[in-house]
Amino acid sequence: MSKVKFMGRMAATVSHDLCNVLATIQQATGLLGDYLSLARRESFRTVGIRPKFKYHDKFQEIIAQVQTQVDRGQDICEQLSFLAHSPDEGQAGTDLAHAARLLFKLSGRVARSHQVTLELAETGETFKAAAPLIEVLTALDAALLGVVLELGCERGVTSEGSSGCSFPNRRIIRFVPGGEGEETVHVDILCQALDDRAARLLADALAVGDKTGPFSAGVVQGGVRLAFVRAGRKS
Amino acid sequence: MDKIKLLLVDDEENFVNTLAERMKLRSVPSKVVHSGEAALEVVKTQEPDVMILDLRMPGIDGMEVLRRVRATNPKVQIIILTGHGTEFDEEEARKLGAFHYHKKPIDIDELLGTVKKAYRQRVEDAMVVAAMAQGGDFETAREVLDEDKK
Repeated sequence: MSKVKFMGRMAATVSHDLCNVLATIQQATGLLGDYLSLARRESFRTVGIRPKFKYHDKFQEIIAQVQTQVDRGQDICEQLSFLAHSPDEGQAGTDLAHAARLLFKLSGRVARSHQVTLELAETGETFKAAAPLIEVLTALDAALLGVVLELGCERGVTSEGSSGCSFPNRRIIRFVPGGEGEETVHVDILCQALDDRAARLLADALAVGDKTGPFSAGVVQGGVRLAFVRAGRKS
Repeated sequence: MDKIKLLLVDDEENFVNTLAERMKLRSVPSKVVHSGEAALEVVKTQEPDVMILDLRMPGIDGMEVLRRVRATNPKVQIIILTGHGTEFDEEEARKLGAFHYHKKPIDIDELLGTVKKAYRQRVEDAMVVAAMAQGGDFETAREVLDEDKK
């Protein structure tokens, strides 16, 4: 078994176990809420003889907080599950928009720490690459990290810093899936702050870093393009 | 709602026992088992109306329980509730005849809503068959029952 498939299998197991833990926490706090409501109804019925539980509202607030974190945890588990199963996929092609969406969710922390915003252009069309999801994700991730590093914003730098953080719209990184003809599909990674020279350097670095990979890297206006063979293309 | 015979099947004991308690507070008592083998035993002796079934369990897993129960007791409405959940699993479960597919964690009221719909479906199917049988249309009644097994 390859290392990638091993990691995928382990991640799927971890994701499954985590979901079960979250589900148990959710139901247990939910049960707490149920008994609080029950106690409240009983206190109403006794017309004040049995007083309302003093910390009822505080308990409800804490239960709501736990539920919010459970929802957050569920989202993370789903992302982990997608990631875990990504080495399994590929025969039918990888939807580039789906891959970008998944990458955004996984890269939230990186984006926040580098003060960039990630956007996906939703065209309504489906562009499928003839490559497994894991390889598309790896390629998009490499491009994203390249752009982020080129933007050069360090963690914690404020808009008064000299790193160019004072123009928020320049720190938006847009992913635009597309396709030309029947041969290729692509994702353009665009950022206003990326000049032609930086885009060329990044495209060259991506090409060098993935000599046998499923994509080719080039420069487009405002960024770089990762081009993949279109899935289902007749050879 | 206390007329629904609900069976909960999950090897995560803390989770499923708490779920049962919350269902009971909502006037839906249930029977709890912690394995696929135990679930099949209960189905054989005390057929439930609705089953909430986890997929990943040691021994006989949920997909196999689903397959067998759909073959032997097709009127049981089965709701999958799993922490594993791939698209492939969902597709497979629906093909095998699962009434619905939910992922954990799930809001109790959403789950209860699905249980009620599943029970309603079971009651409606039974009424259709009874009406046909009463009208003497045994052939159509048989066809409906066999359709359930598919």
